[in-house]
Amino acid sequence: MSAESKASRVILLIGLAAGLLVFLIGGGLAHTGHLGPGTAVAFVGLWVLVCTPLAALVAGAFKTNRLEFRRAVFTLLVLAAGLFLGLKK
Amino acid sequence: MTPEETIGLGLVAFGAGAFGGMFGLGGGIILVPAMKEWFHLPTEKVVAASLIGIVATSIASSLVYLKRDLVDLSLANRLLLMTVIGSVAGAWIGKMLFNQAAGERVLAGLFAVIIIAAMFFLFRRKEADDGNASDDLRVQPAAYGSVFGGGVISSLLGVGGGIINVPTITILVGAPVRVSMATSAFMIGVTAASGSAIYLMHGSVDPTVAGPTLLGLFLGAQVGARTSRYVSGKGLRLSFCVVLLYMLFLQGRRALGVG
Repeated sequence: MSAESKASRVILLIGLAAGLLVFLIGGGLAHTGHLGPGTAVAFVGLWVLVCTPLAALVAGAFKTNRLEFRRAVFTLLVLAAGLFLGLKK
Repeated sequence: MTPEETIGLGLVAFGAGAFGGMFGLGGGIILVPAMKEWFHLPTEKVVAASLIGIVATSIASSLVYLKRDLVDLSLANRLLLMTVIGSVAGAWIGKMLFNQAAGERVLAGLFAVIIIAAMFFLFRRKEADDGNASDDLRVQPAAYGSVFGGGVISSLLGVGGGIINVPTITILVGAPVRVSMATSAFMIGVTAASGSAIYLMHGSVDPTVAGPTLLGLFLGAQVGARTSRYVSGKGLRLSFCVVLLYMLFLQGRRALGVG
């Protein structure tokens, strides 16, 4: 396995496990009557899950070369701009 | 949602994930029409929940493909800029079309076209050939336009976009089918993550819908991918086609305004 694949894989593995775990903890809390905190924790889990592929992209690019890394960061910046503009609308 | 509905939604997502996983398709193509038809959920919530489920299934399949060194990360990186722009655009267009009678009909019509493409993909798909990721792939300009369209479709309809990505990478980039499928699986995760992020920020994600969808789709895809080798190919393909035809009927009915 190449270094870039390994870097992406590690991030994906950690992100998937952490995201699902936090989401399930949130669901458990909500189920036991703590609806507000449970929902908040569940949303944190969802955000962790959603950010995982993006982080894996950057990690893989970082291990490839500087050009790839810049390209990946630029992609993230475009997404961030899209999110920002979408919120302002 | 009632506990019964939650369990039902989880089971439908599991079935969609399992069926999709057997053919390397995301479950979104079955899940989205089923959720709208059987659970009467608003399109926005359905699309957002499906995209989050697709993120999880994409991560799981990427883990396997990355281990085998089949994902061309450099190629994915080059194509993803356009896909992400498409995904953002798709989510914006979706916000305008969702919950409006005419908009919903347009979406249903578009979904019907994607289902027909999926059936075509199912029967015309080449067997995965040998070959690993390589550095000498040339990306034709049309490929950028194609993956942009894939991004739009993904965020708009709540599907992965593999139906567009795989042929694009195979035909317009010239990568081996196995590499195309692996790279597409990785790209789908980033695309769906971009769309999900927008829906999350807009408050379109309902954890009570996203939870069972995410877990059902994720577990179903794992089961589907592992059991596909034990099930007869032709019969399975036909049964999947029957399911897709039913989904086509549902979407066609909505598009024509009779559903």
